[in-house]
Amino acid sequence: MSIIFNKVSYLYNQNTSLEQPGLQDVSFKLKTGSFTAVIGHTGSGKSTLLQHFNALLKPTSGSVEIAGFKIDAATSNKGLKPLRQQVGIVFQFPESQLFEETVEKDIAFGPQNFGLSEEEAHKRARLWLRRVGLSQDLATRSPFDLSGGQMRRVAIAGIMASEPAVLCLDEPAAGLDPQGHQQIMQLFKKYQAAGHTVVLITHDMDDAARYADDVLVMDHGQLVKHASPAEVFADPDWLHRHHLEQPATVAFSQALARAGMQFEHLPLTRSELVQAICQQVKGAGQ
Amino acid sequence: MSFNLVEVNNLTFTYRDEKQPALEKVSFALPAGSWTAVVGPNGSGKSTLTRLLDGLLWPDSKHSEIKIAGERLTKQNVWSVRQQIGIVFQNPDNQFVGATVADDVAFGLENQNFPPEKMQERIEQALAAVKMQDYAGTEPSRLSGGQKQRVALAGITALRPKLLILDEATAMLDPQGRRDVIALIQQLRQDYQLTVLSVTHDADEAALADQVLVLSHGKVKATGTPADLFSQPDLIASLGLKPPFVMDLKQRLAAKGIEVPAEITEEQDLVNYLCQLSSTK
Ligand SMILES: Nc1ncnc2c1ncn2[C@@H]1O[C@H](COP(=O)(O)OP(=O)(O)OP(=O)(O)O)[C@@H](O)[C@H]1O
Ligand SMILES: Nc1ncnc2c1ncn2[C@@H]1O[C@H](COP(=O)(O)OP(=O)(O)OP(=O)(O)O)[C@@H](O)[C@H]1O
Ligand SMILES: [Mg+2]
Ligand SMILES: [Mg+2]
Repeated sequence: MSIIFNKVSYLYNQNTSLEQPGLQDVSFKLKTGSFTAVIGHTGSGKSTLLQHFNALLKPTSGSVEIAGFKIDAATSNKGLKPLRQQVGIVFQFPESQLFEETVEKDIAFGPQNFGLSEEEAHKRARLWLRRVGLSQDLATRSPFDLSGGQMRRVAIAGIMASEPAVLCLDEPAAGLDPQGHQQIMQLFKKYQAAGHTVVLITHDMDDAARYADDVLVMDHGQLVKHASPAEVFADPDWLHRHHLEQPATVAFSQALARAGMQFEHLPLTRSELVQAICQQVKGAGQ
Repeated sequence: MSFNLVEVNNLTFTYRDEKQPALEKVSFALPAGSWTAVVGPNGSGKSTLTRLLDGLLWPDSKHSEIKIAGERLTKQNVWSVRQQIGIVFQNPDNQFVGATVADDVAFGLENQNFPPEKMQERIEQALAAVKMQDYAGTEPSRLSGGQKQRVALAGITALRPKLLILDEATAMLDPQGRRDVIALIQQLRQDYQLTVLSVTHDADEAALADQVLVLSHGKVKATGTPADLFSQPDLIASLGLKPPFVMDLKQRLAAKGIEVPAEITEEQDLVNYLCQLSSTK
């Protein structure tokens, strides 16, 4: 079952003086089990797009097909709980989704709300607390008495503990330390490998290049490209026109290529890059 | 650059009901006009430090001392000292007070008794500097994440503080936005003497600073220039940090037997060096 956006447009504050387009005529199809990165300049519509995945926002026109639901302007808010169970969203600002008295209760809320017993839900919560790299000592703390990166991890655990079929993430690594950043990205990759679909908004072009199968590029509410990372990141001028840039790895590889090195295909990750350089340098030395 | 705008001595702070201090015996100085990057793992005390500098939290004991422009920060002078400090918080939602973007910038200026006749010009200038002039009449709650961060930054830079504290103020900006902000801060430093303390997880951003302060478990684990610090791969790894791109690449290459001379620190130089190596060998 794929995810289909069919000519989705969204107007903020429709029919008021503040009316403003959030999305314009966006169409795409994502495969089940894929890992998609959504990139685009500030204000390009990424968060607006993501909120359409579980009907937090509903299209002003067009429709979204996801997890057996079809959502359009007429969809009622009733009966959306099963959709929210299958499609979880981690918001851009984690504080906006924390609310319980303690960290453990906050993470357990989702699983319990979707039918697990209190005991089972708390067991899940402790499991996910560990998986996002938080110490058990924090379980009884108020989620608001945490550092920014710790709050971010609680928010991620809170959504993943319900184990949604589609996991949507709005800049989940913003504010994580480098080690945490890598751990959490690997957690998402593992989650995908276990058969789930992952959609990741990111400003980190290296992450998009390294982890995604597919990239959606947004600009002024429009989808301007849907392609593989290799394709999206190959053309620096096109990226600049959309206020984006190449991952450091790709930019470096192209600089090497301009200076005379030849690559069979563009390295997307640092280890691929180093390997390619070694082949050139050592190959030439023989 | 001869005097220290900020001096911190023996700073220890414990949150209420906590056993472990969030900061322990932290000492450092910020030379006037310098840019210092504060790095360290999540929960290491970086934001706590910024709140103490702004007098939003108070140290555990009288043995801790924070001096701003030579004056010891106390509960008596905190209001006047704070006029010299601009702080951009980790979450911009904690920053907004105005009903519109322009009001929000105006609010800070009014608080500092900024001349009303010059207000409009200053607001426009500050918003234009972060490319948010078209949103002057918008409610802050109706902005995207990165737009909020830009406005928060405009609200603070408009005040021309002596000390600018940024707590991951570029974490939600797109790559160009991030570069714009860094350029803006460099520009402000050139235009008037601005001292910057910037909390960041981005090694490439920290690499631009004059000084890096590494916190871990509430303690200062290292201070030094970015070049010094990032050339110690074991230290960097043990602190859970990541070196900037060029350093990282050099270290990965060294692990595969390609030693790049230490004096090569710029991307273009590394490109040239590697190309030479592959063609001449
Ligand atoms: N509640 C709202 N009311 C009106 N306009 C809004 C609202 N939320 C967002 N917008 C506008 O819609 C556009 C898209 O915003 P969105 O939050 O989707 O951007 P984004 O791509 O997520 O940006 P960022 O990377 O900065 O988070 C922006 O121009 C923004 O100002
Ligand atoms: N209000 C609070 N009450 C109790 N403990 C707190 C409170 N705020 C923060 N802490 C704890 O103090 C320590 C330092 O937090 P701080 O926010 O300064 O970290 P940080 O270095 O800014 O981390 P991050 O990179 O995640 O933002 C953490 O262990 C955190 O859990
Ligand atoms: Mg957003
Ligand atoms: Mg912090």
